[in-house]
Amino acid sequence: MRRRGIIINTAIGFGFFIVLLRLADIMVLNHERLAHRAKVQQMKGEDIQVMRGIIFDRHGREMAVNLETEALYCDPAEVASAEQSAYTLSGITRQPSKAIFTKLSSEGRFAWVSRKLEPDIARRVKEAKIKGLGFLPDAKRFYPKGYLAAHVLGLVDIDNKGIDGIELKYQGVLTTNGARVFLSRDASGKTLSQGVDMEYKGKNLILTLDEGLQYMVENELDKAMDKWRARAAVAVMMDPSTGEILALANRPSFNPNSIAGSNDFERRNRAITDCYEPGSTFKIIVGTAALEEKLVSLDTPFDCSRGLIEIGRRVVHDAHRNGHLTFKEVIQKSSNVGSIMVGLRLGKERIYKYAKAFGFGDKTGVDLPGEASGLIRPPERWSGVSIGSVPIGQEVAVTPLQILRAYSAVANGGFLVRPHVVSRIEDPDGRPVWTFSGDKTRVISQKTAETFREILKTVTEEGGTAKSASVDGNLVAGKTGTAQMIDPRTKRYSAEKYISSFVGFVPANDPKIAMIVVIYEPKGQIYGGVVAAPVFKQIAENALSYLEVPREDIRSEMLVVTR
Amino acid sequence: MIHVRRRSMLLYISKPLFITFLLCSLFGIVWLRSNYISIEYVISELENKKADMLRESKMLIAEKASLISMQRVEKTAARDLGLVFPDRTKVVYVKERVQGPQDVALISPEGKGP
Repeated sequence: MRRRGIIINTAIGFGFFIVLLRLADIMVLNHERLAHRAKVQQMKGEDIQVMRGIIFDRHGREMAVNLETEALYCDPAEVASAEQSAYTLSGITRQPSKAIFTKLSSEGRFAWVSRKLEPDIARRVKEAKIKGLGFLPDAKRFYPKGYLAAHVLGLVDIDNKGIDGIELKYQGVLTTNGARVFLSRDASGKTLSQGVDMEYKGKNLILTLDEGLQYMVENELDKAMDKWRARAAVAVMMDPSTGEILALANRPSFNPNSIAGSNDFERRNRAITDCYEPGSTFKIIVGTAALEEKLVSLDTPFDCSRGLIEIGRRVVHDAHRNGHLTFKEVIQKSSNVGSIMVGLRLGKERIYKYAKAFGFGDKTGVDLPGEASGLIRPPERWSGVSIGSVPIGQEVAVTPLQILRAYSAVANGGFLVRPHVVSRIEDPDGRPVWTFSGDKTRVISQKTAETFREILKTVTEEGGTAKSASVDGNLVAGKTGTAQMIDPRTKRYSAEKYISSFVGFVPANDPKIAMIVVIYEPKGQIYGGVVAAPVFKQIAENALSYLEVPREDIRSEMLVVTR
Repeated sequence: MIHVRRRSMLLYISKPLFITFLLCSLFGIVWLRSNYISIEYVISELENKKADMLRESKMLIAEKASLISMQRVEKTAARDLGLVFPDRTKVVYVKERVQGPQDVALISPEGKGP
């Protein structure tokens, strides 16, 4: 009995000893290796998804949002039948079976099959239960307004990285750094909560754009493109006192939701990237400079009766013979001869000085990528005929936005503002983290601005070059421009290709909007007053209604309700 | 004598008491741990639901933004409802001046009160 007890005790003791040995093996000798294996089995690494910030217009309407889609990948080594699987997937995703087969039968352990899958397609792929396939979350940028403001918003690539527009310019603000977290999971692979937020968000942008105004501008540009069978068109609307860009549109345009369906020509933001010879809209320089330098008054006479002027070997003509003109009429009738005479009084140094002061030859600093600085040569590099070219907007290269900024200075009493499209940056919870606070630079005196404004008003009145820009009920101040394009083959001014433009602001006495319309290569007509001015008028009328700017001629008839 | 019996009694019940305590503690720990895991499962499920709802919310925000786009609103207004953009001559702006509730007056286009 006692012997049996000894045997049992020894057996139990031996058993415990074995267990202790195994424990020592697990807990001491192989601890690190086994702990690592356990971690691999129990923990699952997952990337925290980064969502780009949302882009809103000035009234909080979403212009760019995010969708959560899924990306389909495969482990080719795990795919049972690449041919059959490719056929099934092709039916669901509507991608060529051959392309899918290539991915499914590739070497290695990972290959993307399809990115940014729509939820319905992802669900159907999951239901097909094809071996060797897996899904990963894949955020997709979506522009709910389609073509609207495409050149301002820009677009992103397949990896959600900004490649144009403010998506590119504010890439660092709209996104944030991602991270990888390790989550516990059970034996079946189900992850357990660790209380970690699996989504990081970038900051939101609040634009100066107004969706309503943007739509009006784009609508009218489309009509102008059809009417004049033009090659391209640009319109920019700005608040002249703040530099806030209210609308910016280019034609042709593109849909940022489908990058593949557009080309470089359509994606070009001509308002800031393309330079052109502005023609008569550049007469603002000699006009304001002569007034500022007190070389002329409104009634200073200029003899333009010959209808031409010789500068060196070059002869510059007026579009029509005007006779004797006052300084005011020189601008109103857009006389080249008169403008060159004013330019001769100023001299090249002063013309250059004022052109630079108005920001020509320098970037405006607008917060969009790819802005061109334009070109104006310093006086020492002017040729003998330059004094007959620069005052009428030749031998200089400008962007539409530069011209608009210069006219905004006249509209706001003499200050050069900084055009911008982003007014505020907010964190994901809506708290402002940055607000635009641009500075203004005085370029001409208040008096000069007011005098030149009076002259610009006459441009849209009877006898001016842009009667068709006048708006019923509100005075418009502006200037037409008709510029010949350089023929790339002959390197001379083309007799067929023109750029027609109109730039102005309304209401002239208390400007709410300043706008430029540029039509490239219109067919049938060439003059800015015929081609671009009516577009300005139509947009301005709609915009004034939209902005609830009352007609000035019925101000006295306004109903007044007091309570 | 009584003292000795009491001591042996204590010794007699201390063993099962200790074992019971040990077992209870063990089960308690296991119970707590399993509860903890169950709660993690519940939270995990709720988090998944939250993620689904956030995903749906993003879709709905995008859909809403598309539906109220100016282009669509104008098409619906013009095509379906026959509305037109107002002629500026037909728009009357009403200026509001806040005063006492009894002081209400309408001024006619001629500038005289009714």
